[in-house]
Amino acid sequence: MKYEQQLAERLSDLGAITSDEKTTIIQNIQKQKFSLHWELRVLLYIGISMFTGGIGVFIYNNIGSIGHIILIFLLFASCVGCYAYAFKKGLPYSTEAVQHTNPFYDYVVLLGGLLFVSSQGYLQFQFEVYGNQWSSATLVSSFVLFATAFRFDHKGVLSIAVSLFAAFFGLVVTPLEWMQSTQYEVGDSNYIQAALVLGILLYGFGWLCRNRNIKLHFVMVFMQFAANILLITMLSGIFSSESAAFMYTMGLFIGGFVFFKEAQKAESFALLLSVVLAVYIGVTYWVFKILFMGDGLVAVYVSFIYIIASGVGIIYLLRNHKKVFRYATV
Amino acid sequence: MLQYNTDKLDGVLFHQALSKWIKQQWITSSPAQSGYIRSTLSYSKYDWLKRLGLYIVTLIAAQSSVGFAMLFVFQVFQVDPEVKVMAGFTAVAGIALIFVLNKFIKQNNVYKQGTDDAWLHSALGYIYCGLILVLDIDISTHAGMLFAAISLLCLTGFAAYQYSDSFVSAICVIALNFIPLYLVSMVAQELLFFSVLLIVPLNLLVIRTINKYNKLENHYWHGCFVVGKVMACVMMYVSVNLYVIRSLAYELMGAESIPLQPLFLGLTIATPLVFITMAIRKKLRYLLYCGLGLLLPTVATVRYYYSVMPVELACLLGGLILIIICYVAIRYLRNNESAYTFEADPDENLSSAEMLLILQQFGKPGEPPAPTADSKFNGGSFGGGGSQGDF
Repeated sequence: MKYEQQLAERLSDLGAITSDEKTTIIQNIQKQKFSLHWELRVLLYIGISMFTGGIGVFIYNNIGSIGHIILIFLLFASCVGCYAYAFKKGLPYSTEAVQHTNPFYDYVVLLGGLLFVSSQGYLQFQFEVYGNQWSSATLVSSFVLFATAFRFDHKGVLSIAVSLFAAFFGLVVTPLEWMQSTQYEVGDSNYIQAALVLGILLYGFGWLCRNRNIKLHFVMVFMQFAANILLITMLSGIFSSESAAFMYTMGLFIGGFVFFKEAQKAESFALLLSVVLAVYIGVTYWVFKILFMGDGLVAVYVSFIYIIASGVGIIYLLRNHKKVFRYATV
Repeated sequence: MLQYNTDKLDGVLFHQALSKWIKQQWITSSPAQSGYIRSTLSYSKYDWLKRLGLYIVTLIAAQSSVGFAMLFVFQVFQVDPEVKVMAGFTAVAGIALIFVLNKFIKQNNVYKQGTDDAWLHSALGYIYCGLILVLDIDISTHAGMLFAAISLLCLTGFAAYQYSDSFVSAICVIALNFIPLYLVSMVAQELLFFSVLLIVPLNLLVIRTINKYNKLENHYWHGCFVVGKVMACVMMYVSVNLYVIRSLAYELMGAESIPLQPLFLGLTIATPLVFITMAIRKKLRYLLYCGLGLLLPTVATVRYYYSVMPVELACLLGGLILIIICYVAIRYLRNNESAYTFEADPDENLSSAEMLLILQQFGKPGEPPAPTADSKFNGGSFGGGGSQGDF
């Protein structure tokens, strides 16, 4: 007998369900179909990723022998086809979450977005459409993908858009670094400032979406990215800059507090985890720095005690995060 | 005997089943049922992110505790830090961690929350490594490796039975598979090529034995059984994989080629396909995941020895084929009646919060069960993940 049928028998014996209900359950179990939903969706996602990846590398490797016009035409035609399908089959725009019943819809939107990014990169590489402004291709792609994500309600495309937006900042900073130093060094300060601006912008987008009640389910995507970027930036500043370490530490605590409040509002464990880990690393850095200024052996003992005690504290915090959220509100 | 409270584990299973049946509207509420639900105890489930976070933090705290204790004891008692002394201390620390873990489980209503997992894994690691070092086992010899495999099998088997830990049961199956290999290699290393003659029937026996015990009264170890069967399938595949066989041949005998290579190539390709076919016919989800997962090393193995086209073309064509297969399969499943469906299983990703909501509504006599609400307590910004309810 099937496992679930045995369960129904047991619950019937315990009086939790009646014998009629048991019969209904067993009949339904026997009629139940084997679902291949998630397996097919994952395979579809892998197929699309392989296809777009293969196209990208194929173009890159054969760029000399294949007609550029033909290639760009094919890329754009496919991209336009995907977007045309998305507009035709998609539901109208709404500021709330939109659920598409067609299982292929999300994957077509994703494919269209990825093909657009490939086409922009190819246009810039081959025809230098944006001149020597390499960052512009990334920025344009990111704006189009943001628009795509909001219009067709796609979190995956939104994540790609945010990543491209972050890449834009990286591309902007690198030429600046090169101009400012005699040797080409990937220094810290410009990257940290760029990351700060990016993090604040992403936080602003999320805040705007929440305040205007636009795609509230996107807010946590923005907040998660903003939290990770800002908090890691603060930690980088603490580790790399002796003179400004205190300022970055204050920034870490302020950022940690802000995102703690966001985590509390959204009851998001993932955001809370990012905040707790980042602040813990920052605090631990200072504790160890101060400890190891003194006696080596005493410092080792105290550091062990600190790690054990702080570990227990974090375990308590994470296990009882709902109580902590409620307590922090009072 | 299981260290966790079996009544509460029964409660978890029954609540999961009732939640699923309510969600599918197979049953409706009644005073007897609401009374039963209120009277049964249950553990709460943590989602994977919370469990992972707690696991990492507990692991750090556990290692630090043992390190601190060792440092303190050695410093205060002026003990000479020889390897055997430290190993002995480590083994004792591991045993102490087990006692602490048992107490923690009983006092804190904990079940698979990351903390207990990390504690268990740390304790087992300390006991095992301590034992090997104290006994001065030479793992460069076949006899030494055989002893190490047998002791690992015993330790992990006992731990899997006591704590129903899936990771530990996976290690147990792997250790079991190495025992015949080391026995054979003690006779003659060349015989390892024919280890498939031992590994495949051994793992088939493992699967049969697991199926014999996989009943409702043993549901506490259901996760271990599933993982055990998956590892058995993986080990069967590894024993016939062409890359593994040829690497062994080269390592042991310096042989550049092996006899019966086409046979091993055929087995490498056929094994995942057989798994997938059997999984679909017998509706075995664990076998389906095995088969799909093993396609990747199969493709990598075939491409390693027989590269028929550039990798980008392979990705492009492979991706296209996958898209077409999925498209055809989805259209077929949606438009035709069969024993299979594209509709998602309604009991997947039932988190603790969702179950609680369903059961609270269900628990009110006279009121119909409410539709399920989206859980707010999942981790991650992309829809989160719950445990997979797998009956």
